[in-house]
Amino acid sequence: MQLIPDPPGKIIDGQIFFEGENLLEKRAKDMQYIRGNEISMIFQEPMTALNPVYTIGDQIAEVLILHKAVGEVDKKEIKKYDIIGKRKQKKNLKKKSIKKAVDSLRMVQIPDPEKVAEQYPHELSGGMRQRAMIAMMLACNPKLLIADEPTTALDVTVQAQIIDLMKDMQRRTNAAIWLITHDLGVIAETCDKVGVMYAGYIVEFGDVQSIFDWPNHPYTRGLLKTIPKITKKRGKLDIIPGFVPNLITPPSGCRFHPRCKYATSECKKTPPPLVEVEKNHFVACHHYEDVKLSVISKYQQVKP
Amino acid sequence: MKTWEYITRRLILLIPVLIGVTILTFVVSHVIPADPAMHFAGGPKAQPETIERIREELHLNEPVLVQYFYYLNDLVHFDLGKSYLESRPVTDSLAQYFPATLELTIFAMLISIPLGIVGGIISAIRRNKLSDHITRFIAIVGYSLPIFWLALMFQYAFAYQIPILPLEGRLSIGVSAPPPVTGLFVVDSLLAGDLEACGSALYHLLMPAFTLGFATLALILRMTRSSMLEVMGADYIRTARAKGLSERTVIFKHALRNALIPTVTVSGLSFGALLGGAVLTETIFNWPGMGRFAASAVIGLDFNSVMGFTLVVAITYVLANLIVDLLYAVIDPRVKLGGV
Amino acid sequence: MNNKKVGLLAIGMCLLMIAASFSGCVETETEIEIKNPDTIVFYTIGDPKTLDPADAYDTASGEVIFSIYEGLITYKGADTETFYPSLATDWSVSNDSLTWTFNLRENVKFSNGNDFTAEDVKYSFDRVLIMDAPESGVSWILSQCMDTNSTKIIDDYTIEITLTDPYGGFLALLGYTVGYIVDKETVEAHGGVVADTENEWMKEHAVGTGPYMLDHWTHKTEVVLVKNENYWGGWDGKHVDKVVIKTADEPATRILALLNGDADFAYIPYENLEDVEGEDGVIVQPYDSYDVVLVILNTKSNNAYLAEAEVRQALSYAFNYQSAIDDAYIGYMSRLPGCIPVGMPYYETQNNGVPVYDYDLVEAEKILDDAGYTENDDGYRFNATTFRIFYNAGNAERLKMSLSFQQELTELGIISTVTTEGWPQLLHRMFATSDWDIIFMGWGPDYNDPDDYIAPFVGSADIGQDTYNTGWKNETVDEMILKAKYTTDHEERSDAYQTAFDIYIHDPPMIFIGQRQYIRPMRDWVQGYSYNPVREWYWYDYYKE
Repeated sequence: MQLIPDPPGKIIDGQIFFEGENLLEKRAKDMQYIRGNEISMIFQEPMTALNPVYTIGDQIAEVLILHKAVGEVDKKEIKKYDIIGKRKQKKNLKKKSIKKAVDSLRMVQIPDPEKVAEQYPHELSGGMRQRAMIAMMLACNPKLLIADEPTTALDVTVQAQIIDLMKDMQRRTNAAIWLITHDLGVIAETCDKVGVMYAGYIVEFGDVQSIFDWPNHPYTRGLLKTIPKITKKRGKLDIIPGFVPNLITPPSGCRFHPRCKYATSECKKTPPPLVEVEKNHFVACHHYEDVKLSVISKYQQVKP
Repeated sequence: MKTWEYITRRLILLIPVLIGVTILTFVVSHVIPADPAMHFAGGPKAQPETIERIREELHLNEPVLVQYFYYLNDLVHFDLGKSYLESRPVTDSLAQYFPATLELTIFAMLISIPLGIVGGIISAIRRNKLSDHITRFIAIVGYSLPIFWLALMFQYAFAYQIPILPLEGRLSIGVSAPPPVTGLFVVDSLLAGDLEACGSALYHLLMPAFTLGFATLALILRMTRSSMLEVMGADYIRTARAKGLSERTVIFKHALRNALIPTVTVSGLSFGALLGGAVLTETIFNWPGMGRFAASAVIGLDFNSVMGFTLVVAITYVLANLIVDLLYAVIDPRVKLGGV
Repeated sequence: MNNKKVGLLAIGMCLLMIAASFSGCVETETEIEIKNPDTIVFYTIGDPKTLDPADAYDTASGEVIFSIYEGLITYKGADTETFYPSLATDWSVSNDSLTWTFNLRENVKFSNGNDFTAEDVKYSFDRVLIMDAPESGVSWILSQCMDTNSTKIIDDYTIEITLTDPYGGFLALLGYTVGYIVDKETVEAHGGVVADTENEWMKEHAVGTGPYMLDHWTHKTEVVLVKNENYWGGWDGKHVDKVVIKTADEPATRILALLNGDADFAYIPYENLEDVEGEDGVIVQPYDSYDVVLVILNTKSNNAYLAEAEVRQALSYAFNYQSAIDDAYIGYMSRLPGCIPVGMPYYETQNNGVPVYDYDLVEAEKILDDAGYTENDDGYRFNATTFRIFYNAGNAERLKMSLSFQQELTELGIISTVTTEGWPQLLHRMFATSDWDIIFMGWGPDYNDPDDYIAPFVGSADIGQDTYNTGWKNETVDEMILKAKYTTDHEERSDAYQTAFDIYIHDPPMIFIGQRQYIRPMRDWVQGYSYNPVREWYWYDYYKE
């Protein structure tokens, strides 16, 4: 989305492909067209992500009008200096977009959407706000919705509702959802594919089923192990030893090596490449075979 | 109609404030061990009968408390007493000076608010770039340089060295003041259709308003800048950008309104302060306003004028605060009038 | 932008600012065109208190009234010796100096078209007496020798005035604004005459016979006068059509106005005169005014020593007159030998103008030692009593003189303190208490007669004088003052004042320092200007080319 603020961050290199085009090469104006329209994003803190001084309806209508989802001021119909005519058209447009905003609020199952459209963000609960955000970001039918930890700040019950809502919206609009989360349960329930990231790099990528059944990367494995199982009685919870690395001075080679029990000197020197271990399943580890082995052995133990 | 209730309540609260102000001023000005009666009677040449008569008139022979009640009584009848310094009722003096200062202050704010806000925005969005540094430098200059120095420099440069602006006063010699309706020359001359007077009034307002506004401009600029910087880092700005809005819309529609709250506060209080008397600017540009009036009233021990002036300033401050509070509610829907 | 660049930028900006502030040093050589050729513009401080001649006593009011109203007699130019006909064409006085007869000028109109007649004269004088100047007290000038029975109308153009006392300087009284003539009809139409009450209308409006009329008066801003088309003196010759008197409290503003031609005249304080002296197009010309600078000595002080004549003589020798003239008044002052300032009649009765006292510490010491007021072991006289010196706050000249005098006194072995007080407080101290020894004061003329000076200064409370509450008294001096007051005989007056002088100068109630010079820098295109100490501005005479 290239929303990173310039100081302190800067995009130096690389490519981002969307529908075959490198987004980093696009001009600012084109990016503005894409944002909200083709790629949308919802954020972690619904409390602060909505502008407190405008109504919900206004904020949703804004994106609709911007991306001309309800039509636009017809420049051919009115003369250039016809201010009154222009104003009338604008007012009309606003009315139509508010209506559409109300519809979108209804779609995200907000009760009494007409009233909510008139309200301000501080008058809604966290869950309602997140719904409104979703409504706003999906209003223009984007092709991709990026959801950055959308439920982390919410109550668990509300969490479930939002996840369901997102699944529902995805079905309806056929948008792709890129969900960023640390909640493995949510991933298992909702996602088709998953990419595991550590210290800024993708360390494993593949279909959800493959990753969960057969984690190849030590980190992935560690993550899965940390999930406590209700069925089993354990004394101590499993952890991944060590600390999250400092990204300003990251570890050399494979960034996970300080915490990895399979690490060797090679891991310290060279970053591992992404290797396809089975169909649609990639991993970046020098010693994934070793991990594979231990998993298989564990697996085989469990097999009835 | 909750707004009207609120306004009414605030206005009623004005009365105890004014009473408190008058008591304080009254006590302070009457504690000074001096006899205004002789002074007003003309000094050493004064006849004793004149002096005695003035003392009677001013109730100076009676205890302070009694004098205060005479004063309150007059006040209720809108009689602010007589200014011995100017030999006319205080209300007349105030009626002449207040609009003059009001006009000057309005124009000073018309300069400082837009320029301050725009400057603050520029500084914020181009943080640490050249334009930021230049803008901040100008702001610091305006804030730290003594206002009388600025005034004298401007006057010297633009009314003498390169004579493009008038030296002093509200109108040029030969231009008559328009018939008084509001007391604001620009307004009154337009109402009377007198374009020459209007032009002259605006021409004479340029330097004094700019000088006066300079310091306030600096204040508003810094306030806006820091407020904008804070706001621009907020989550909802990121959301706005994520919606695909142009940077311009993000700044002016989404960020600015949120950033305005401290700016509104500062502007409102500055307006009140400026109305209370920009003595130095008024003296140098020979502007017949409240500041000059207040200064000479205090030095000349003209009690009635001092009281009258203090009352007006107190009222102005309370009203300015009220308007600022109302503006908060307009700008920020989270604010509920009356608290809670 | 990195830090180094920011630093450079900051330095650059500072240099720019410093350079800009030096712009003041650049000389501009311009020949300016006459601005507003039909208008005289005077930038000054102070605002008139009233436009009513019956209640006006301050200089600012006089600046206006002298040109919009007129009296029976007038002055011309700088001449203080002669009384010229104005609304009266000729006059005579009876042998007992009690009855004056005036023939009035015919075909004179007020600015509103009304005719001027003897009725207006009687009305004006009686009005002053009845109203009794409630604001300023100026009516004393007429009431000292007139009452409401004094003025008699003989016919439309003849007036007879019988004084209650044969006041010698009567004509001079009529030359001051208090004796100026108002239009009976106008005053009657706007509140008439009410005893002890000011007339609000007359305060802000004016209908007079003078060469100019009031266009408008914006308080503390400006007074604008325009030509009175009906003026009996006519408009032949060169005159300006308009006069603008502007109030500008800040000296820098007035200086700039003078330098750029906006102002034709400007009041510039002595210490700022060097800013305009020598500038192109500006004339700075000092004239002797009747404003005098005095030190009053309290013979009633709770410090009993001042009651002794020798002590006051010694103090008169201890004062450094030249330093006062040079330092405090930047040279713009002349020595004052006695009560009467130079230019006023009978000045020569004061040792022909040669001061009796001069700065002589040795003489001062001698007098004190001879009188028995020697120094004690610590070097202090008068048992180390402190002499208290006061002056009014804000007066820079009096401050300088006070401090200088204090030094001289210290040399003499006298302890002193210098205190400043606000004007009202100082007046209170002077009149209501004995808690002072020495106060620096000033006095200005009401009318052109020495009685206006000598009586208040050395006349005692017994004859209703002692204006400074010094408690000084000498019966012979009182006798002489009264004698000179009530006669018009030149010889008699001269002898009386001479006698008085010889007495009071050796028992001085005050130290006579000097009389100030009047300077109003003006543009060189102003013609026809002259200075008269009792009528400082007469706009009709001036024109521009």
